[in-house]
Amino acid sequence: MSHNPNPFDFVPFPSAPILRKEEQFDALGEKFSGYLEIEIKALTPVHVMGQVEDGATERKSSFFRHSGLPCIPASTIKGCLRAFTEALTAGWVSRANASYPKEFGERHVGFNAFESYDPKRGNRRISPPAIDPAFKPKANSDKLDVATYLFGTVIEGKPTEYEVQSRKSKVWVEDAYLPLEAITFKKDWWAPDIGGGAFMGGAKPSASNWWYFEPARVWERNLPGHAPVAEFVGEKFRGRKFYFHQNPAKCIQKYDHKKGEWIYTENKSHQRTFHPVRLECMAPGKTTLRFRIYLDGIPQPLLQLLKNIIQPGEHIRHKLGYAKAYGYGSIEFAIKSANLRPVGLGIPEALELRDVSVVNWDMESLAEYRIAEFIDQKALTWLARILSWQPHEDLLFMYPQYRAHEFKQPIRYSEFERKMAIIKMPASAPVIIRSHQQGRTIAEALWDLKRPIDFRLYQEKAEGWDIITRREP
Amino acid sequence: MYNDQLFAGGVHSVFLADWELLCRTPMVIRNGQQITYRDSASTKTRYHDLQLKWQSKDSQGFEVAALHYGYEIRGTHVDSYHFVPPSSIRGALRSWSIRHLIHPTLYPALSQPPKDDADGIADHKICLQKGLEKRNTGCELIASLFGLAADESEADMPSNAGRLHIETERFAGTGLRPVDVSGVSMTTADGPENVRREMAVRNPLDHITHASLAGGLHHFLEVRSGETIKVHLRIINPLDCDLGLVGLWVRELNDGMLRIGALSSIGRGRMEVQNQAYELWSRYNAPKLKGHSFLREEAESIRSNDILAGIWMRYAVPPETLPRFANYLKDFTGGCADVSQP
Repeated sequence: MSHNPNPFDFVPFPSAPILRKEEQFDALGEKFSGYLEIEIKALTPVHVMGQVEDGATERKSSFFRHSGLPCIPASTIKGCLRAFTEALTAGWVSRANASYPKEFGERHVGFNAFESYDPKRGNRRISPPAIDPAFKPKANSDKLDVATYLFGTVIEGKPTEYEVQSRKSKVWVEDAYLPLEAITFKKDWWAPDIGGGAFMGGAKPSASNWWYFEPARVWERNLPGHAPVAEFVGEKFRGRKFYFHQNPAKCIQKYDHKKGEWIYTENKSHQRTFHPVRLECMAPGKTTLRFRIYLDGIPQPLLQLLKNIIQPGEHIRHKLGYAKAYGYGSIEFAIKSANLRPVGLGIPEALELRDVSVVNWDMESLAEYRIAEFIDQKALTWLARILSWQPHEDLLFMYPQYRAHEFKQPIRYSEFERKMAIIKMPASAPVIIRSHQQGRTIAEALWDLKRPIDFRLYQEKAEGWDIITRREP
Repeated sequence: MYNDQLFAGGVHSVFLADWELLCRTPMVIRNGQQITYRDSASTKTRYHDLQLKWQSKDSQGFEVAALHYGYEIRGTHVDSYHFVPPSSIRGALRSWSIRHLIHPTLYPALSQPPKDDADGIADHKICLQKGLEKRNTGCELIASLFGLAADESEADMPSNAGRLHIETERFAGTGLRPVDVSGVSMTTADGPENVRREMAVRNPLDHITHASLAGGLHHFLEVRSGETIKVHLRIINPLDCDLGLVGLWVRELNDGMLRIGALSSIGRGRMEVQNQAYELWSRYNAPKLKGHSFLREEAESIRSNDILAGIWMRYAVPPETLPRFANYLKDFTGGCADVSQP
């Protein structure tokens, strides 16, 4: 039986971040300050969560409002651009939860983002850092990544221990307001949810499977009253997560409790827990009012790079807002004008209209504009695979379900041993995975028992994966 | 060499500027205080029966960063009101001027290092001496306009009060107690009520998982866009370059390159100088500005009750003439001379 690819995928980490000294960035070329005037066009319905009200059978989420108008907040836009920049330019991971400790009934294998983790009880195996510490932002380093140079670092709220010291952003993003008529509720605009807990368990990465993590080991785990099961322990995050574009109308039908194929479990009162959230959305084709992105002394090559990040070529489009997994939030930035001035010493000139063109992603053009050295080509390939806006491909992306043969399926260790015997691989616990290929071979051998074991295998076996791999920037 | 005895020759003229600034984007002026709000929304919903309290967070509430306010005692009760502190305006103008008119190697001249930073103090002194040695470093302009502070133990170092004085008026609204939260009205039983406010929220996401960043969710109050602030600048013994600088500030405020308050990285604090008026009052024997011909002598003034009315000459300075004074600014910045090299 074929399946749809998972709605998100990962841009893998390169071997090391691309870092430069501040003086090296500064010396890249003439610096510019001023602002770009920009519009955002919705390609699929876009929802930014505002007020959320509960009804008897459904929930209603209004579009975020500010100063009396619907609004895409500046921080949302900035976050979207920064996450893309960090992935494209092999940057630090500026924002990552630091710790996922072992917790009874919640998380069997604890881990930390940038440091080793010692569970201090039970199985005392030390989990290595989930992210190579080279990608941890460094406060005391004399080097920094492109994203930190451009977007700065602001410690807001309660800073986590690893956050770098505050650094002023060179990119100031303003809120993008929408005319009232650009947003509406429609009966087809909803996202699946359940009463009570989080649908799909929320974004909780588990090192007890090979979904967010690269395969590392297979353990024999004893469960009270059950036969021992195989636990697929992962070690390194696969990369930075991005969601595919897709048609939400088509996608959510699959999650509909009546006509879809998604099975909703019943709660204790034997009621289906399906509880859709109606979304007030910015309609496809509608645009925001013009808003500004300010630049404060950005060297010419990085200005060009920033323009490319905002308008990333022919195929790549950004996603922002809520319910991205179901196709919502596909957008297109359009730079309408650039009012800039060169930064020099002395009395600053008045701003003047300047060129807003972007460069092609081919190496020759990137080299000509002196930005090739900041681009992680493999990341660009993956960003194109995940973020290509290709509606004609008509691909559908769905989460694996929590049911038999999918996430819910335990694999008894005896079954695991039997399957390993067939493929002539050792199965005495703990099985240490030496390579991606070995992990994949194990997952493939277990495919008929459970499909979502190894994320990469699951994606590669999905419908339309060959189309995805042909996508280019 | 800079002479910090700015008023040794007495006060001979005063330049008065009145600005009405329109907030083109929301404005955040913090006072470091966290207050509390309550949301009665059930799980997975938000913004139901919101209540803001001007007091520290309680067990049922959530924290929100307060917006700057002042208070006065009226009879038997305390009245609080929001206003933009003059120090915020001064800080923004000073910081913009330093960044654009001073060579970066001289920045240490204009910031006081901590008392326990011996190297920083030494660097500060050297930079200040070098910066003030020549007029065209821009340091003299900054020092004389914004003032120069020296520690009590630094008797040999120049120090003076600035020639620029700033006053702001409190926001003029009344009865604006509810705070807007994404279109939902949050009631408040107390606290200031003289400007329209909103509660903004930021919820940074983990870039690996797209889950909320632990400890990242936070709220803050801000002044809504469309509100106006009145600012009064007074420059004692003004020079042509001062008027040129005021003209630049106006241009930069309107362009959004000079912002008021915090969080410019998310677009806060862009202003438009909606109304502006300038006057120069001077003693009969005061030294004339080089750009004196740009001024218009007028008997009538909006400040006819001013203490100087009828004693000093009053000149109107049309706003469109300020950029013409910018040429005189060049002598005081001269392309931001780098004096770090011998």
